[in-house]
Amino acid sequence: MEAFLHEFDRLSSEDRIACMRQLARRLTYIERRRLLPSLQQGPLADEAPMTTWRLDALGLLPVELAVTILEYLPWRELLRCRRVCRRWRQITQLDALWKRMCQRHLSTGSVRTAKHWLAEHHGSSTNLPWETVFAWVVARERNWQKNRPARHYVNTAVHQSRVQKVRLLPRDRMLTGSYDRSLALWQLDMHGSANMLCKLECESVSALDVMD
Amino acid sequence: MVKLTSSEGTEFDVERSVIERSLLIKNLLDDVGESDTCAYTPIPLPNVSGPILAKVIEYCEHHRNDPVVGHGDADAELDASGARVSDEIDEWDMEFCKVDQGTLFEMILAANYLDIRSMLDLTCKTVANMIKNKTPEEIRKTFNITNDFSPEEEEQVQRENAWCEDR
Repeated sequence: MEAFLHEFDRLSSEDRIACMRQLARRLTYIERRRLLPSLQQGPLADEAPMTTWRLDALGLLPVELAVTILEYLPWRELLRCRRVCRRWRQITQLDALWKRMCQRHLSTGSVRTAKHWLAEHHGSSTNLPWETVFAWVVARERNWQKNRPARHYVNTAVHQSRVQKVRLLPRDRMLTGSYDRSLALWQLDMHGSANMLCKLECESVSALDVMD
Repeated sequence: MVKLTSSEGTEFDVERSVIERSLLIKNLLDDVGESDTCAYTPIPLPNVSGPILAKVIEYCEHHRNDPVVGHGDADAELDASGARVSDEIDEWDMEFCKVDQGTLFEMILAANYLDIRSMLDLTCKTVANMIKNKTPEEIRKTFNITNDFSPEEEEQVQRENAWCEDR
């Protein structure tokens, strides 16, 4: 590099600029993004970050690609990302991101229910932030999971014994397993009641999971 | 065969069926048609540097026989709870993404620009996995970020995040 710089210093001004152009074409997008501030602020202004290969992924990428990365994360992780720095907070506040989160992680049914309910209670539905919609669905599911009256209703109506496991499914369905050795599938409605779709007898229920 | 030119002018020869995983190039070639001229006229890719283009070609060659995933098929990846699967990356793909962070982000940009859906998914998933299961401080260390929040802003963020707390 010493020899190269020595030759460079001996070039005419025009050749130096032509040479820099050629060099710039050899730089990658990320390298250019990192070099740009130091060119504007004078040389060596940010030499330190150039020496390390750890870099701020989301901050450097165009916003739509940052959104593509973040939508792979569960929502709790997104909220953790929001606490990293100002730039990440901005990105995790984007309405476009939460719209994608709603499309990816929630059923269309629960999104429709959420928008319907929020519109009724807060006026217009046109300017609802998608994060609000997402938060509403999460809160509702959490209520269902903890809802004692609903469990009680489920117990007496269908299961002969205590409900042991509850699992929420897409499209507002719920699966319950009980000590009475039965499984039941439910359709939930937005007012908090459950209608049984079918019931199955089985050996015993220790855990519930759903494949596809 | 198709000739591609990277940003610094390096030429790459690739089989047409391989590089057609890039919808950008496929559409370009389809527009030109079957004429012989396209084989000799290099396609300039001023946004992709040589080392990154080499990675792209490596990816396309390994996955040459996979079905092409279009934009409409993204929903096919939803798992039972409706979340996108981000842990399942096969072994070859995992090795392929073991590169420094700068290269990884260039690969994301290239996959996006060249419109190679499955490679974009893979590289984005890889970054998502680097973020997963980390505290904000660990994320800062991983990506060399300084915490630039004022105490007031920290409080605002707490309030914004309040909806996730179990009440």
